[in-house]
Amino acid sequence: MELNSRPVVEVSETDIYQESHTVLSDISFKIEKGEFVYLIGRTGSGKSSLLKTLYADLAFHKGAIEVAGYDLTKIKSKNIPYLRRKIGIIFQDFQLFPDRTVTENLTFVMRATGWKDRTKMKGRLAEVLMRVGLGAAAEKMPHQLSGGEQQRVVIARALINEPLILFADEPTGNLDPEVSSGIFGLFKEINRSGTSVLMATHNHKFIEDHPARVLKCDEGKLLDSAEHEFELSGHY
Amino acid sequence: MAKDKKYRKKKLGSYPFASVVFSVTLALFVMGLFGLLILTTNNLTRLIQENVEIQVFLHKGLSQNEVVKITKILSSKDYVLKSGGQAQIQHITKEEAAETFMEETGEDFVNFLGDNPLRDVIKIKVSPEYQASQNLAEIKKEIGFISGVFEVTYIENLVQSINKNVRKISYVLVGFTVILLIVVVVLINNTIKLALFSQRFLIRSMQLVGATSSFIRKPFLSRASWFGLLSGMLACALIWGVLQLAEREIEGLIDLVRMDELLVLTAAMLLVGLLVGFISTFAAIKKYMKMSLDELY
Ligand SMILES: Nc1ncnc2c1ncn2[C@@H]1O[C@H](COP(=O)(O)OP(=O)(O)O)[C@@H](O)[C@H]1O
Ligand SMILES: [Mg+2]
Repeated sequence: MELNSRPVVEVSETDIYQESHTVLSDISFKIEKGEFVYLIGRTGSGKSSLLKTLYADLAFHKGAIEVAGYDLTKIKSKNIPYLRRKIGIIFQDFQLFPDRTVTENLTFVMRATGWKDRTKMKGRLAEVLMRVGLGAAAEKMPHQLSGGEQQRVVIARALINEPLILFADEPTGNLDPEVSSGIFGLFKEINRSGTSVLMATHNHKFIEDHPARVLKCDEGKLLDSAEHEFELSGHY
Repeated sequence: MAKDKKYRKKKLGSYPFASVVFSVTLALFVMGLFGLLILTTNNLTRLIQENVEIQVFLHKGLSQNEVVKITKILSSKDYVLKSGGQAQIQHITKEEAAETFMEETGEDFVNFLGDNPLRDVIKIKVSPEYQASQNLAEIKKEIGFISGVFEVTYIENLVQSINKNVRKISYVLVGFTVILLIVVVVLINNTIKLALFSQRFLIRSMQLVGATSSFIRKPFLSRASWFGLLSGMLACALIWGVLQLAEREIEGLIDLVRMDELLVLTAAMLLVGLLVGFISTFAAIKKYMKMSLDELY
């Protein structure tokens, strides 16, 4: 069980690129199994780019990255799907299909990731929906759900294949504060059961109420609260 | 990302197929015509070649011995078609010839004339290697020197001129087939590009949750193969229709097409349809999936 003792994410001396310009340079950090880490920084500072690089959606040029046991430096494109099954992605651009029910949305993902057994699929579906507190919403269409409920379905979708880590990019960005803290609570709960979380957020209140390690994108560098202290507040 | 305005359930792998099926059908149809042409001319050629004949008319009043001698000489020649080790030579006496003639015309001309004006004739089937007009002329000359031979005649072989014309038509048909196949490949390429673009949201989501490329490709490929096969069937139906029409115009044409060969042609058309659909779709998807889907337009 070497994987268990190794960090879920390990980035060493890497540059993050968008097209040909460097967004973050020479960054290094590790995320251990079960860790909860915030990712902060101003709009345009590179949070999304960093997350995209971590789930192999954006190429990087220098250094080495390992995620969930996959070496992204030399990962073959045919192995990327298997990497993605070990991580959960919650991303603004990655919405539910508006033309399918919650169940159809989730079974679509299951089938796409190699699930075949109908009974097992049903079981897993009920499990993840219970976990996000939406046991009764299975047959609803996304537009029949509130924003918060939709986000819970998105989280359920990310949980289907029991990921080692969740990459969440501003998961509460469009939600009002009360609903946001409910969603945040769900992340904490998922984290308590052993899944690591790396969450990009602008919500300062979360960090105040639930202090945890913070990575900050700042002028092309990545600051790590585990290494040295820095100013959390400021312009977001 | 542009969100789909319509909430119509989109199925992965669907695309507007009418133009694809139409063009593949057309390409296969022309290919089928070419195949049909080759089959009929092959059979026609064989038929003609088996029937190239030299008729050797003999002098009147030859003895039985002399006739046998001439037959023997002719049988030993290389240019006589051998079938089952047997030289294809036939001796028809003037009496037999008169009888056939009477049967055909219904006139008892022997009685009428009081004499049989016909001659004994030896018919020789010529083997294909000696059927060029030059060879036939030489053979005619050679036989003419045999004593007892009155006259040698033959009908000029048509095979060469048929083949020449068929070759010209073949070039045209093959050219058309190639052009149409290129059109088909380009069209499928563009159709797939459009389909991938309009389904990029779906495909992107599948990629993010960890669907393999082959899983994403599968519905496109099975659809393309099915459309290819469908086009093959349509083209075959057209070919059979053309054959029926042609038979109405040129009687006996259908006898030139052997059923087993026609079935092979049909199977080939279905197979080509399926392969064209499958391979060009596979290539298009491979090409466009490498790009970011948003960059397609
Ligand atoms: N698709 C893209 N193509 C080119 N540049 C981009 C793209 N997405 C983001 N960028 C640029 O990369 C930088 C970092 O953006 P991003 O990672 O989205 O920051 P954040 O998520 O922190 O707001 C910005 O300067 C932005 O303009
Ligand atoms: Mg962002």
